[in-house]
Amino acid sequence: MKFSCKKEQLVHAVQIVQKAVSSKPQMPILSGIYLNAFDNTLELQATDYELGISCKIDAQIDEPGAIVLSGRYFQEVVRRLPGEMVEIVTSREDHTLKITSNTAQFNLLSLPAAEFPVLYPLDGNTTFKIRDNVFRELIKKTVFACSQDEARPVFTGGLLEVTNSDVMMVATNTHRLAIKKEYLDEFNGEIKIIIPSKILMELARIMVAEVPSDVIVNCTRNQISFTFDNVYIISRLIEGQFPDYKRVIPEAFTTEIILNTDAFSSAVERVSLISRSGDYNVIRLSFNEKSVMITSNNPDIGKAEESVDITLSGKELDIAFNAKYVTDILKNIDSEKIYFSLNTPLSPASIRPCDDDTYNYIITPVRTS
Amino acid sequence: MHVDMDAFFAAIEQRDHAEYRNKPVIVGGLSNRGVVSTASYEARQFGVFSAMSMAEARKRCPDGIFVSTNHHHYSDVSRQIFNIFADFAPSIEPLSLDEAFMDVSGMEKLVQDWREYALKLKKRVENEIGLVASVGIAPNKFLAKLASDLEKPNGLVIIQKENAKNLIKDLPIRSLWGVGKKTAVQLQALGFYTVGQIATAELGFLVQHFGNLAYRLLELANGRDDREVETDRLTQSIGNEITFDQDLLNRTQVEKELLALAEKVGWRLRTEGYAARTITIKIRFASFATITRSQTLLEATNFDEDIYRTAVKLYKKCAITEKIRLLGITGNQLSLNEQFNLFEEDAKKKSLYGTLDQLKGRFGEKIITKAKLLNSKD
Repeated sequence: MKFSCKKEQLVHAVQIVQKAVSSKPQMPILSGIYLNAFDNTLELQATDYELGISCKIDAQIDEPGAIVLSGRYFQEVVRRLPGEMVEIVTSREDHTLKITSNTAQFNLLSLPAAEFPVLYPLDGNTTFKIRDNVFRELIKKTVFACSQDEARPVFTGGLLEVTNSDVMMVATNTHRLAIKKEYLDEFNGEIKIIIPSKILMELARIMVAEVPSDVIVNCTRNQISFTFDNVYIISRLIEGQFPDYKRVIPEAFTTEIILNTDAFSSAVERVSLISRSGDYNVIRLSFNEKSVMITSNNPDIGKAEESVDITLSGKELDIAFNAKYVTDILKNIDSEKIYFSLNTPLSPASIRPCDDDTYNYIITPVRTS
Repeated sequence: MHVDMDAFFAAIEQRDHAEYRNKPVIVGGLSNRGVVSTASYEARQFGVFSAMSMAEARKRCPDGIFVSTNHHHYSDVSRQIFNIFADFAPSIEPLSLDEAFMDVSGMEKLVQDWREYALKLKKRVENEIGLVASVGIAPNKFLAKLASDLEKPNGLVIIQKENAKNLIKDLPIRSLWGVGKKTAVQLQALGFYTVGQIATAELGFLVQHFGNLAYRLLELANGRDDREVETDRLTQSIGNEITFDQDLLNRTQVEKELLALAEKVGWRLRTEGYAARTITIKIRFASFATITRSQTLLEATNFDEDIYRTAVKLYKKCAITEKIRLLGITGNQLSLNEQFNLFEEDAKKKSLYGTLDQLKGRFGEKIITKAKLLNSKD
């Protein structure tokens, strides 16, 4: 195998596939990045069996071939190469590979390409197209609400629910729930799948094209693939039943508040500086007709309070929340004003942007002693 | 003011059983592997003390009356005593079932004679409960505790600020709060044997050897202590441990014991309204080597199954090379707050535990348990 390509493109491709390189590989080969040179194209692949990523770039191929290299070292080396172009040549005799760029030269040991589980195109019955900017919006507005607790897998992923042209993404850790709705151009039918949050975050990171383009999604019962630009991603789906999220959205509220997003967000962040992080980061919110008093009290450190102007209709109310669950959503709302809707100090509340009814966030309070 | 009951557990037994009076009574775990909790003053003359192994106690005092510990009863008595304490000071810091600090500062106008005041408290405890308390009154907590101990049993000592230094200067260094075995050895190696010697030491020298502890040592040795009486001192941890009649090796046995412990700790957490963020297990081997392992959870819990699962996970990570003598589970990083849940599944679990706890509350802890735990010793 012998080829040369632009360093910048190679670095980019390595960074994309690197997330699928297994850090604790089941087999040594999975710690590698697979390189395949053919038809003026260099394809890079990595997989840990849960997630597989492929990325193609242009290259001048002098001699086609495939090889696997240690993912960790290849990435470090390529990133720091001095030249604009990189040339890579394999040697048949001693299973090494020579990387040359400007004045630098590396000889790296290789792994046998034949052992690498090359990714295959998923061929499921369900397929649809979604704009990458729309998809990214769905992900970014919800994925932060996922749980990290592997003991309950369904909550470690985002629910993607398509009903004809409506597409929803829902994420929850059982204490708060984020829900965002968008529209598909053309789709008939229903889909309900749970995508691991790790994959969603990876997609949001990679889908950064300046010009909106289409992502082609294909899925089977337990796998999903995404194809866009020069990238192909295949992942397992989370199996299990996502609970009925519609039932946890309160139908009516007895207190409706309108708040300035930024003013509220920064006040909550300040007050929560001294809340007890080991104990739910509790902040108290006391809503009266004109303002909300935000307080926190940490017996080991001290106290904080700040008030923010509000418009209130309905009953006045005192309630406590985990500050993190409040700031998480405020960071993701772009609108100038939010609705904060509540019922009682012990029942779920809703936070949503004033000018966008496709986004909603349900948050449960903390009962304090 | 510091109040400490004299030989509390043993004294309760002597009060309840006329035939035990004036005889050596030893309360503790009765099996040969048990430990002495409290020895009556009569038993102490035979050289029997708290924390001594029961086998040793039997050897030293073969004719003693050995009684097994009845914690429930003792805590009932403790509650009655604390009710009396509450009449004597606005803020009380319990140290254990039979011991408390009471803040009487600011009461100077109400109390003319402190000795009389303390005698009144002792009298009430004696008349109403039938037990004897030792009392120490002093300008701070350290001296008060020292004072209550000076003339025990049936002690009453008042330390004035002026003669505090003089009074403590000949005491051994171990009397200083926070000086345990290890620090004592270090201090002795440097030539300090009495409190007075430390009082006159150079701060710089002490800092060199004891770091931050040095400031406290010097303050205490000079009879100074600025700790407040903390009434609402939060519970730091809730845990249970068990010493086995026969050492365990078998993994199934260990897991079964962990399950029993998890059930106990979960029930205690729930009844006191706590959830624990960190679970710690303690393993003592036959050789007495002891290890603890802990894990902090993503979310605080008080459910038996979460505690059990974490405990087993921690146990499996330990290198077990010998038989196990003692197992313990503790919940730390306790929280009284409760984060609500959106979904029914969790509500169901909560109501299940609610029902279990109601049963246990009404009929005793043993009324309901896991099938796996039946047929165990009790």
